[in-house]
Parts: sequence; C-alpha cells; structure tokens
Amino acid sequence: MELEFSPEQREFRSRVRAWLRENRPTARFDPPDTEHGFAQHMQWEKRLFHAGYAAPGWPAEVGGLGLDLWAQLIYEEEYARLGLPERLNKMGLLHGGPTVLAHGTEQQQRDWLPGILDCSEIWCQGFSEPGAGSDLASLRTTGTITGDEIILNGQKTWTSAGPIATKMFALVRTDPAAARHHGISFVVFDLRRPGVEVRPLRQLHGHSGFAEVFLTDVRIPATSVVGPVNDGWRIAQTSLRLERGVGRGVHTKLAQALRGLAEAVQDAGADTGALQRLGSLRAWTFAYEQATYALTDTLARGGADEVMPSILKLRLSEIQTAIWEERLAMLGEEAETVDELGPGGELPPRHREYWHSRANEIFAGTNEIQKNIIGEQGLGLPREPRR
Amino acid sequence: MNYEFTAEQQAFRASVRKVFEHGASAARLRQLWDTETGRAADLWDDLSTLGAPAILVPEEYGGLGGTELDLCPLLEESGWACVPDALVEGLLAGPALLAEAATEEQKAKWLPGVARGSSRLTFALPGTRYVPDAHVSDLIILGGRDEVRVYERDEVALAPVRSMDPARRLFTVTPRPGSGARLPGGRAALSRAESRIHAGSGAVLTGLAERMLRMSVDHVKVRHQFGRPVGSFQAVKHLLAQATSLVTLATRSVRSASCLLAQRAPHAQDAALLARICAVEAEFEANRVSLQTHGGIGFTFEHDLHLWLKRGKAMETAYGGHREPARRAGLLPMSGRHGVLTTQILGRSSPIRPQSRLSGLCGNGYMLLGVCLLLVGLVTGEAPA
Repeated sequence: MELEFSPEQREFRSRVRAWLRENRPTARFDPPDTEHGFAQHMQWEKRLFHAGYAAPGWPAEVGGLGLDLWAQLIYEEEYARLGLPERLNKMGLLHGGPTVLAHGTEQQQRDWLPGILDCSEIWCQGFSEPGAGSDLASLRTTGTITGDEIILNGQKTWTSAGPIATKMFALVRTDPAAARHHGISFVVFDLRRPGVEVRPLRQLHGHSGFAEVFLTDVRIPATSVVGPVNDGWRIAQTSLRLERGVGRGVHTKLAQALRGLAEAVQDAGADTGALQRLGSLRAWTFAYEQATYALTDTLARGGADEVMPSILKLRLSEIQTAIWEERLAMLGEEAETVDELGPGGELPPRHREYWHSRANEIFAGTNEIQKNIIGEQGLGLPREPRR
Repeated sequence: MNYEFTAEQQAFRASVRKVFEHGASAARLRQLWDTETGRAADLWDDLSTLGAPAILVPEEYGGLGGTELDLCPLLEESGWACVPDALVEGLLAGPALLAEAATEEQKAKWLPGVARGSSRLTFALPGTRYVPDAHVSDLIILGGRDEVRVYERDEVALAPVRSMDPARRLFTVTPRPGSGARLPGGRAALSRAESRIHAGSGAVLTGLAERMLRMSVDHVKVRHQFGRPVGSFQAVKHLLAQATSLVTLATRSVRSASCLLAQRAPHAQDAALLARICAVEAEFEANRVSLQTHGGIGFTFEHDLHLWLKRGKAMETAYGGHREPARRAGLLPMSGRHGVLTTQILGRSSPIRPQSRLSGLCGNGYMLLGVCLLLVGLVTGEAPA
C-alpha cells in the first residue's frame, strides 16, 4: 500500500481546480425542469463541453478526455468540492452512454454519444415500472418486433430527468414466452415519438424532475436495440453496476455534510453525546472514502469486485441519512421550520438533503436488495425463494 | 495510489496464518486456559522465527526496520485465530516506543533481545490500570502522566486480575520504589504510541469480526428450520450482510491508518483514531449478529464462538474503549476546505517517504523461516512463500 497521489495526478488536480474555479457559475441554479433553470444548466454544460470536461472518463475518440479512473475520481472530487450544479445529462453520461460504449454498434455510438456530450439530447432511464421495482425482472412493458420496427406498449415510472429528457434507454419484453430474465431487450428511443406521454411526478421534498412515462403503440426502428435482442438483462447489468459504482465524488459530498454538522454541533455547545455521534460519523466517512479509493484501485488494475458497490451504496445511504438526521436533531424545534420555499415549492437545502438521503436508501436498488446481493453473492448464502 | 499489500506482506500473512493454525487452534486455546501462564511458548518461538518481534525494531539493533503496515496482516490474523497474547503491545507499540524514545545505550541493551524474541515486552498507556501479559514479559513499559518508564520483571510486583475472557491475562503492576529506567523521549512519543494501539487493536478487532462472521455464515448455511437453511431467510441474511458492510469498511480504515502511520503522513494519528472507532463499532455489530444467528448453540460453553465473542468485548472496552475516542474524533478540527481527511493528507506537495527496508530483507527472512519451519516439521504441504 502507498497512499500518495503521483505528481502528475496532483498537477491534474490543480489544473481541474483552477479551471472549475475560474469558470464556475456564481448563482445557484433553478431546477432544470423550469425554463430559466434549464437555460442556466445548458449554459454551464456548454462551457464544460467546449473545455472537454463534459465526460472526462469517455474515450477521446468519442469526445471524452480518456482519463483513467484515478483522474476521474480527482475530477469528481474537485467538482463536488466546489458544490457545482448536478449534471443535466447525468443518466446519459453515467449510465446510458457507457452502456452504449460497452455494448453498442459503431453506428449507435456515432448516432447517440455526441448528443449526450453537448446535451442536445437529454437521456433518462426506463427500468422501473409500477409493478416492477425491486423485482425488476417482472417488468411488463412490451416491445413487439414486426419486421424492421419494434412497437412499445407499457408504463415506466420513477424516471429521473423524465420531464426534460428527449431520449430514453429502457428494458422492454421482446419475447413474452421466454422466462423472466430472458426475453428482455435494451432499447434506446426518442421520447418525442407519437404515443409517448411524459407526466411529471413531484417528489416529497418538492422537487419535480421525476416522471412517469406512458408508452402506447410507440413505433421505433429495430436498430434501437443495444446488444443482441433478448439479451437486455445482461446489458442492463452494466448500467446497474455503474449506478451503484465508484462514488462520483459522493465521499466529498459526505465530508461536506459532515462539516456542516460539525458547525451545528459547535453552535449548539458541543455536548459530549453530540461530539461522540459526530466523531463516529466522521470515522465512517473516512472509512467510506478509503473503501471508495480501494475499489478505484482494484478497478484501475483491471480487477473486478461485484459486491463492493453494494456495500458502498448501503453504507453511503446510511451514513448520509445519519448525518442529516443528526443535523436536524441539533436544531431542536427550529428543525421543522422553513423560511422560504424554493422555485417550484421545493424545500430549503437542509430539508432537501435530509429527504434526499432517505431516497438514497431506496433508489438504485433498495438497501434490502443490496443486502441480498451482499449476502448471496458476497457471503454465498442460499438464495431467497424466487419465481 | 496503491491499496494492495506487497507480495512480501502477503507471504508474511500466509506464514503467520500457518503458525496460528498449527499453534493456536481452538482446542489448543482451550487447553491453555488452565495452564500456569496461559501462553504457548512454541507459538511465541514460531513468531520469533518469523521475525515478527523484529519488524518494528530498527536494523542497527538487529531488527527489520519495518513499519506499522508490515505488522497489520499479523494483527488481523491474530484476531482471526483468537490468539490471546498481547501482540499489539509486544510487537507494535512496545518496540516502536523503545526505538523512538530510548537512549542509544538503552536501545543497545534492550532492542537486540526484543528483535530476537528472547525478551518479551508489554506496554500500558497512561491511565490504564490493567496490563496484559505482564507475567510473561521481560520488560514492562508504563506510560505515566509525566514520564514513561521501563521496568524489568524483578522490579515490579504483579497481581493478577481475572478477565471475563479466560484467555486474557491481566495484571496490576506495582513498581518497587526507585526502580525502572526513564525513557527520555517517552512523553513526546506517547501520542504516537497511542495511535499504534488504536490502529493495531483495530486490526485485531476486524480480524476477530471477520472470523465471527465466517463462523456464522458457515452455520446458517447448514442449519435448517422450516425446511430451509436459515441463511436463506432475509431476517438472518440481512443481519450478516449489514455486519459485513461495517466490517469491510472498518478493515479498509484500519489498513489505511496503518499505512498512513507507516508513511509518517500528517493527520495519520487522526486516521488511527477514526480507524479504532470504526473497528470497535464493526466488531460490536459482528459480535451481536454472530451470537444471534447462531442461536442457542452459540450460547453454549462447548461451542467455540464464545472465545471470539469474549475477546471481542474485551478488545472493544480496552484501550480507552469507544466513547472517549469518539468524543475526541468529534473535536478534531474540520480543517481544509471541506474536511476530507485524506485529501488533505494526499494533496500535500512534498511527500514524506516511509522508512521501510523490510521488503528487501524480509523476502530472505521468510525464506529462511520457511526452511526452519520445514525442518522442525511444523508445516505440512506447501512451503511458506
């Protein structure tokens, strides 16, 4: 072991930090599903794109910087450190795009990737359905193949970025006769096609940005399938792993939340119990960060770890929730009060962050699903009875 | 960045595991409860042959000039095997403190014997009442409020104190008036000694926790109720998964803290404090969950689980426990722009290199050791690397 960034990595960090500092937006943006907020985000995205910082981890041939995993981690740390806006095309950059890179044809890559980079197309993920959440393989949206077309029917839900998205990558059932995990295909299609209806869903902390998507006889070309037809379950694993993956600077955000808690503990007089709880959360933040680094090291060496992403996702959501719960508890009766609602009626940051941490225990696979993965794939325990 | 142990460190771990499997099986550990010292002389001899007591001793005094990180695998393995010896004191904190704080003359007198394993050590932080393994130690180092003193065995009176863990041997130590030798750099070196105790006891705790979880997983795979292995029930599986997530992260924090101590990194001592907290909390959870998932069988004296359960509880509460370290961690300044501990450490401009020459030496040491072990017939099957 040697815990030391190389001189090149330190130099890269300074360069990224300087650029982000120089170019960062000064005001907090409105939510991206408001007209003003969308324009603000677009302007920032264009600036990142022109500087080559839109997708640092993507290969240079498709418009990225081709950075290795450690440089990506440094970039994400610096991005998070400055509290910069959430990326507009997160689902395309982190999930859809990399899946197309891993499994798509050259034509698909040429057709789709540039639009993700310059945000001319905003992507969203169509996995969950009203009847298929934790049990994703029970999804019922159909894709009926007729000649060179596929006809989609069904409903997707909990769709992040749904209201602003123009493209969806989705799992649809292309062979209804096949067993659960078989007969599913991974498709990418345009949400502006006839038969698509996107209804925004407001989240409990006031944010919209969520949607349910109804698909009624939506005709898409057969060339929309990524990877082989009926092999979508395997293709989707790439996306799911990325979603639970190596952090994206979340350890930095965790440390920022911790800093806020430390200030609140100081302001409240730093009693022993509060200091102990803060100390414990600080310890776990350190451990979380080190586990993130260790997994980055494993992956950077070409290794694999199927279980660690689930361990990290589980612990992240628990540590994050504990930090924000403690923060609210420190405020006593002030905790519930709200001075002013944000655009679209969203709650102020401390409430938003708290509720967001609660959401984190649910999305990208609930913590119970993560524990199944840890127990079954990690510890080799017998599987749940399943259909 | 590199989060992997070196080939030498991994080979060392494999050798240590073999020594413990042979010399510290659960049956053997039970036998030792009723012996006078409670300690196995052959186990110590094997560790000495491995060079373990020499790791933290500088080369000029016959040691290997290694680091806290080099010893980390051994301490994890000692938890895994439930070895009762005071290794955190005897192999890590004690030798390192002598090397840092003793005069040249004192070092020349004590350290060669320590490195060979012929002179055993124990150590107690200031404020500690019970000193482990003082009865088998030739040198007893006591941290006091104002100074650190080293006593030879005949300079102190020992009174045994019974532990709930039948393998632990604790003593109150009363020095004869005017006896002992002062370590001139002792006071200044005490906080680093405490950090080594934090990281080292953390490694023992995560090793204990890993083994408890392994025993539990093995048990719930074969124990059937309602016509199914109980490990297939989420109520059981999720307990073990939760504890695994804590232990996995705690292990990472302990190894990183050990590495940062070895690198003499700024904030390494904070990292050790944080690692101790994670290790205690993770072991606490593994302890709770492993008895719960064993059910009634785990509560019997015959089953081996309680060896680990009791050691775990003892190691949680020893060394200042958890609450005071957690309070201190709460008081650490959130310096830096966002309070990420390691980004501060790693972001500094002029790296300080670790002073380890162990890797070069140890390869040969291990080879010699392998030959020795084979000669005395301790090892069957493959030779140690």
